[in-house]
Amino acid sequence: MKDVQDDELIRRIARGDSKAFESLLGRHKKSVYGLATHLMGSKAQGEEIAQETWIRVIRHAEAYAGRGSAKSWILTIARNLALNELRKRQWEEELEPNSAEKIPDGAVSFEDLLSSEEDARRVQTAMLELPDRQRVALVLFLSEDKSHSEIAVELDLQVNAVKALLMRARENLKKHLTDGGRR
Amino acid sequence: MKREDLFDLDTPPGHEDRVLRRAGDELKTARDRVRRRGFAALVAAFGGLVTAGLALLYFRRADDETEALTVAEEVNALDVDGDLLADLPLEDTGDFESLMEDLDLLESEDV
Repeated sequence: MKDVQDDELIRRIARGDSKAFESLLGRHKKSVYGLATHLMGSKAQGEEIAQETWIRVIRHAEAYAGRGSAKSWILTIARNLALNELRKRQWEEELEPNSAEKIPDGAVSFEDLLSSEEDARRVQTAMLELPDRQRVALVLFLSEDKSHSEIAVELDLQVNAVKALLMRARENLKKHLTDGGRR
Repeated sequence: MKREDLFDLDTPPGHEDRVLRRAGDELKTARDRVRRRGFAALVAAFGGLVTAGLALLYFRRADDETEALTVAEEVNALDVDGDLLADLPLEDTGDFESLMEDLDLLESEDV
C-alpha cells in the first residue's frame, strides 16, 4: 500500500478495507494524535480524540469528496472534535475585555521562537502547559495559518481577545525558552 | 523541524492497536453496507429484466390483437354479402390471404 495515494486509501476504507485503513493510520497517526493532544492540553484526552477521529474517518470515508488533501480533511475532523469537547469545558482563563486594542495586526509572530530545531521542540512541549484558551488560539494560529478573525469565529471571541491570547501565549513560551524549559 | 510537523507527537504505546480494535466493527459495517448495496443492485437488475420481458410479451400480444382487428376491418370494408362469408370454411377465417382468395373465388363463381 506504500504507493497508494491517500485519496485511494480513503475510497478503499469506504468499502471496509482494513489494510487501507492500517496504512492511512500509519501515515497520519502522529499528526492526528499530536494536534488533538496540543488542542486538549493532555495526552490522555488527546488520545481519546485521536481514536474518535479515526472512527469518524471510516464513517465519513464515503462522503470524502477528495477536494484538498486527505491529511487536511483528517486533521479537520480531529480539530472539530477537540473544539467541540473544549466548548463543553469551563475555560480556565478569564478574558480581559478590550485588552488587546493596541495590538496591531501582524504584531504577534512566533517565527523567532521556532527558528531552531531545538527551540521548536521546546515550544512543542511548552505549548501543552499553556492555559486552554492561549493554547487553542496558538494551535489554530500555527497549525492552520488561521487569521485572528477566523480564530475569533472558531472560539466565539472578539478579534482583540484573540490577539491578547496570542500575545500572552508568546510571552509564556518565550519565558519558557529563556528559562531553558525550567518552569 | 518543518512548520507542519510542529504538532506531530509520537503516539503512546498500544495506541494503534486500540484504534484498530475500535475500527474493526466500523470497517465490518462498511463492508456489510457495500454487500447490501451490491445485492440490492442485483435484485434491481433482475427486476428490470423481468419487467422488460413482461413488457415485451405484452406488446407482442397487443400487436397480434391489432393484426386480428385489422383483418376483421378489412373484411368489413369489402362490403360483401353476409351469405358469402357464411359459405367460407371456418378454419380459413383467421387467415387474411386465404380469406381474400376464397372471396375472389366465390365472387367469380357468382358472376
